[in-house]
Amino acid sequence: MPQEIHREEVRKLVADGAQLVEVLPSPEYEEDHLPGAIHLPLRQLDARARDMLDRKRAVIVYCWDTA
Amino acid sequence: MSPRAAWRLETLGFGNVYDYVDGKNDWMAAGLPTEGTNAQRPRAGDIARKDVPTCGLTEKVGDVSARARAQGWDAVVVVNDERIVFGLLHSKELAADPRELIENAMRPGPSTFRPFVSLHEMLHFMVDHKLESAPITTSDGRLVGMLRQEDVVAAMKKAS
Amino acid sequence: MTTPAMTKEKCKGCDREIDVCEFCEQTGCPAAICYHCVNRELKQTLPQPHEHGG
Repeated sequence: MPQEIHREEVRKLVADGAQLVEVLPSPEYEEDHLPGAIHLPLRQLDARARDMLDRKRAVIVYCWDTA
Repeated sequence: MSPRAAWRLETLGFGNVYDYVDGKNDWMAAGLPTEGTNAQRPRAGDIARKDVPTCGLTEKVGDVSARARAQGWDAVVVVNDERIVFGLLHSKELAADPRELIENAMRPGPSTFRPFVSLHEMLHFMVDHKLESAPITTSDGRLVGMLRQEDVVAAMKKAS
Repeated sequence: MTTPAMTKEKCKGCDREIDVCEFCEQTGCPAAICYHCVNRELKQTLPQPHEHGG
């Protein structure tokens, strides 16, 4: 089950080498994204996740907010 | 979206998946840096005046008013030790009975705005609503500074 | 003497009745707007439901 985390844990995990992934569509990612975040829109996850992400490393996904 | 992405990644064989549930909105509302086309444009938090005078609930209007005047301000933000915003005092409130407690004189629970809001949008609103200044806070309610309309205009002229 | 009924503002974004403009906190504001709409217009939140599925 994916673990829910908050801001401070994001920073710690990224510092430890986690992959940060934004799953929002293009305009949202291009305008603003977290530093170092990879862009993998939700609709493309199935097709591209295995190529774009390292399964051996932690992955943190985010979108806009909890809504 | 992110919960669905997180669960899907697990079924795709990713064993160590986390969901930053509060998302980009939370990150930006905390005033943290971002990358992207908007990151280059000045935002409310960049222009907000950090030197806006502040005061506590139990101070007296007279003392606070004198302090604000000395600093060249006609607005004061009421905060606690953590800089959490409780209220605002503008000229009208600062002209109240000098013996009055700030807690009773202030405008409680003011509208505040996030550091990442674009200057263009804030200016549009400030002009439409004839608002000379607006407090900028993080999502925790902490004061970042006071955004003044004149500063927004100057910053946008400089950027164009 | 009758007390005049308190007139509520109407949000220019969604037409709901509001007590006071949530941007400038003034009654009688000609551009009065509710909390939800001001946050959306200032992009402090995304409109619901998201176009991309939420």
